[in-house]
Amino acid sequence: MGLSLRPLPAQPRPRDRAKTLDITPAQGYFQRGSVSSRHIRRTGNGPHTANGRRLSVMTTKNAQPSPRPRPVSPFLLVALGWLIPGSGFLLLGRKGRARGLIALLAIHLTFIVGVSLKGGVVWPVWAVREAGFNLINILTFLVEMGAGWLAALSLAAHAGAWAHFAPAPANAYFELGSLYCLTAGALNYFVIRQSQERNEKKAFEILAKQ
Amino acid sequence: MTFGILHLLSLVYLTGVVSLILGMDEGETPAQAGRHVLGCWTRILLCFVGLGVVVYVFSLFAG
Repeated sequence: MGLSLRPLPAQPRPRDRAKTLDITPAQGYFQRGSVSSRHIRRTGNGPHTANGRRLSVMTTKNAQPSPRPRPVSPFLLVALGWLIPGSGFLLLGRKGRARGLIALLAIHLTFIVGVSLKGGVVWPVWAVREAGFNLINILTFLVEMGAGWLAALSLAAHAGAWAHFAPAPANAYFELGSLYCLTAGALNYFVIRQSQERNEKKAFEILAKQ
Repeated sequence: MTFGILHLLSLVYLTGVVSLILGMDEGETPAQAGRHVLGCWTRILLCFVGLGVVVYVFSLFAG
């Protein structure tokens, strides 16, 4: 009695089987935002193989259509980005989150160090004919105001003589502290511009997809 | 802490923050951005060291 051992035909692994499926152009349904899963469930007109076998991947109830990305309003971006430094990037979603957090921490820390050195925002003399008029002071004020709510708080503290947060021009460290506040304000202008550029890039990408 | 040391530390910190903010948007990946930030920070610090040397040399001839 002879036993002949024949090797069994090699069964393709599930991953290989999936590779050998001849997917028709209906696979375009997998593209983002083209047809909702609800539409596929209703019509049954989903992706299928060449021999008519339907692929039920997208027709399950769990499949959700991905939300369409939308660009942020530029006015909102500038206004919120100025008021809270770094928040412009945070509005852009997941891609801008790390940059937004870095900018938020860096600008806040810089301004707080400046205030702790008795620096801050001082209201300049605007009238040209007055004795204290100085163009550099006005430009410094405009740049420092870029720090948003921090600069507004420092200005309010100076006006209200709130000792803990108000700048002290007579202090030896006032100039150095004001340099920190100036740097924080200037950096926020750059951060706002960078977030605007990212937002414009995002809008162009959305237009290109459509 | 003396006044001069505080200014030197401020120089290092402020150049670092400026490099970080301006360089973080340069690369698409964090590694590229990090390399750009470090390169930018190094160049700015070297420029300031050069300026310091020039000022020191000038101070030798003053009075």
